[in-house]
Amino acid sequence: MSVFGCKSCTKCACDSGKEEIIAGKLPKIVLVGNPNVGKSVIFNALSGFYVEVSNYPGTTVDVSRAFTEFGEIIDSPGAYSLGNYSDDEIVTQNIVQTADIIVNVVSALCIERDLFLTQQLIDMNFPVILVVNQMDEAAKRGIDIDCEKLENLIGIRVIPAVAIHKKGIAEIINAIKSEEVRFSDNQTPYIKNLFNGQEVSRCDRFSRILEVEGQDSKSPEERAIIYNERRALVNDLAKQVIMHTEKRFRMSDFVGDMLLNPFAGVITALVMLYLLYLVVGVFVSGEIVDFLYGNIEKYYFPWIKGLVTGIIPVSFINEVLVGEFGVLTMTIAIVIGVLLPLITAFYLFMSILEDSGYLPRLAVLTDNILNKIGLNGRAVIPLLLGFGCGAMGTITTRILGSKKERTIATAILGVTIPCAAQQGIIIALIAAIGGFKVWAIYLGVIFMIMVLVGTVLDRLIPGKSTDLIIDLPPMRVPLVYNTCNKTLFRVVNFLREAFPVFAFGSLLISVLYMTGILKWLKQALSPVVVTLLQLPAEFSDIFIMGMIRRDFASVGLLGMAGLEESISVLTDLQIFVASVVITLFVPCIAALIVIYRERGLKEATLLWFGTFAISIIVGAILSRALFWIF
Amino acid sequence: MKRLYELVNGEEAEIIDFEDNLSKCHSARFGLAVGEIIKCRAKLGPVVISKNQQVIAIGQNLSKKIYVKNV
Repeated sequence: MSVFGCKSCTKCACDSGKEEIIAGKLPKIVLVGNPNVGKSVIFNALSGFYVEVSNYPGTTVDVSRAFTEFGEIIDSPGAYSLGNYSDDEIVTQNIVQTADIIVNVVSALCIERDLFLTQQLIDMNFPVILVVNQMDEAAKRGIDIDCEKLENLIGIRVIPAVAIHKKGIAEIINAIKSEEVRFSDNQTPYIKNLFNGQEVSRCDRFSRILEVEGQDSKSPEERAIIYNERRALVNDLAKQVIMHTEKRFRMSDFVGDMLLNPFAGVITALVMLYLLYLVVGVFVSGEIVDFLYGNIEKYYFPWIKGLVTGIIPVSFINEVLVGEFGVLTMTIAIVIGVLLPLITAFYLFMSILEDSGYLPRLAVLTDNILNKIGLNGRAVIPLLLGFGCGAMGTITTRILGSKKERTIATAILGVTIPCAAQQGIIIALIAAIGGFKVWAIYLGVIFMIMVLVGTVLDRLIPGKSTDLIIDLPPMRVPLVYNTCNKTLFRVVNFLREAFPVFAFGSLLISVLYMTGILKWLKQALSPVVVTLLQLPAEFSDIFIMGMIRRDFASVGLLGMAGLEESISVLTDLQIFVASVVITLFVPCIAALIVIYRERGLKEATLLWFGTFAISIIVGAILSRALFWIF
Repeated sequence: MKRLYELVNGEEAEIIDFEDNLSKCHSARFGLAVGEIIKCRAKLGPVVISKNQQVIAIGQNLSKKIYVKNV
């Protein structure tokens, strides 16, 4: 319940009663603002160290909260408006309803855009404190905002801030603590007329406004009128308070523009991908993972096995806990030894790209290509993350605007994008049979299948993909503290979500192994492997192990391919076919569980069988068609 | 009158209409409305435009639903 004494409504912190903070209870303060306005920097400055990050129920949208002496602070996801336009905006909309005080952060760089949300909050009769952040960056670009005048015109408290230098933070805290009026009568005319001076509780007002102007509005004409009026009101307001001085040359503008040049943009993207490969694919996935995994095997395994066996001697439970696929052995080794370093490196890289302003530019650059397979530029983010871990990529498909896009991106991730574990095997295998030519054929085949999967699904799935419209923030050097913070939050979040998935996967495999089903599956698959793929029967072992964890497949395969100091029992063509099939083969158990959770049983099952069929069919064709090359 | 996606690099234009209500609302959220003066910054499929200090990329589909006239 609200900390405000609310007489007629208990659902939200609404204003229908007398507004008094109930003694002893802390107010709920929600930070709201468009993406990239420095909301999280303000949140960090207000909250200190005791921050708790959790998923908003039913989503993976990050919500950070912290308890301070002046209230509970919640950092909501970036939103351009309230009205169900994306998962992020729905979460923000829900959080806002519970707020006692809203701290609306806008950027001085694009105040005209940002005040739209402010005006919507005012229209909804929320108590708002307006923070105009990034005043320094705006000044450098020749923009000066008259905050005093803005305060007089808009009717709520306005605080200028430079959050990264902690300027304005004390004023925000004072404003939260004070009894200042935070409501404004300066509402959009249509909304004013809609309620016509009636006393309506805040949640009724909120629901009524969203009914008219939300994404699912039953009256699109009415919504267009409101949006138009609100935009006009805000533009007029902005004109009165923005003072442009002279425009100076800015290096960040130059870099930002350069990245939008098709030639320079593509070169930068390639260099960036190569760097990502060097850091994550070579250094982290090689050195760090080897070190961590090796030490876990060396020190942790004997200890935990001894401990568990001491309590529960050899039995089914012992096998489930500390056996070959044990929950306490395999899960820990994979999550801590493999996933943790990989995910940390990936998220750190993504946070740097995000905070520097590069990621939206990459989305613009890839939009055209992704449009052809039913996606828009934003899909580049989950697809890129999929190169680290399929489960991580699949979770991130939630940022996509429609169900159709999420299904297509999940399918592409499941079928064609090799995760870091797969890449390790593929790189070793292809290196064993040749260089550039083999790589070109391999990439060509995978790319063709990606286009095919995307195009077919785009045609088959009804509905339209959403249009791309994104802001390109100025390029800037990311703040170390913020980047690390963001990475830490995401890593913790991912592990919290992934750990049970991997543990359940381990449990399932142990059961399959102990009941003999695993052995039966291997035997059942062997005719397919021998007759269709023209590979030795032992390969069914590798494929089945690959279903469990991609890297398990590598051990036997690399030996058979003549790597790891053994003699090759495979021809070059067989090695090539194996590389392609391993790439395309069904998602590992962890990714499959995530797909099931995200997309439901029907889609997960279809995807699993579809992937299986595609990998076998493609393998069968290649093993017959490419004999003249190898 | 032409559509936004027909603008070439460096061209300035005024927004004069939207094809439908949804594109109008989507654009309003990002600060674009009838009467705004915009400048085409780049075309890579999406049209990249600037409005004052703000730079916005608009996908091809949406850029075909926004009508502009040269200024």
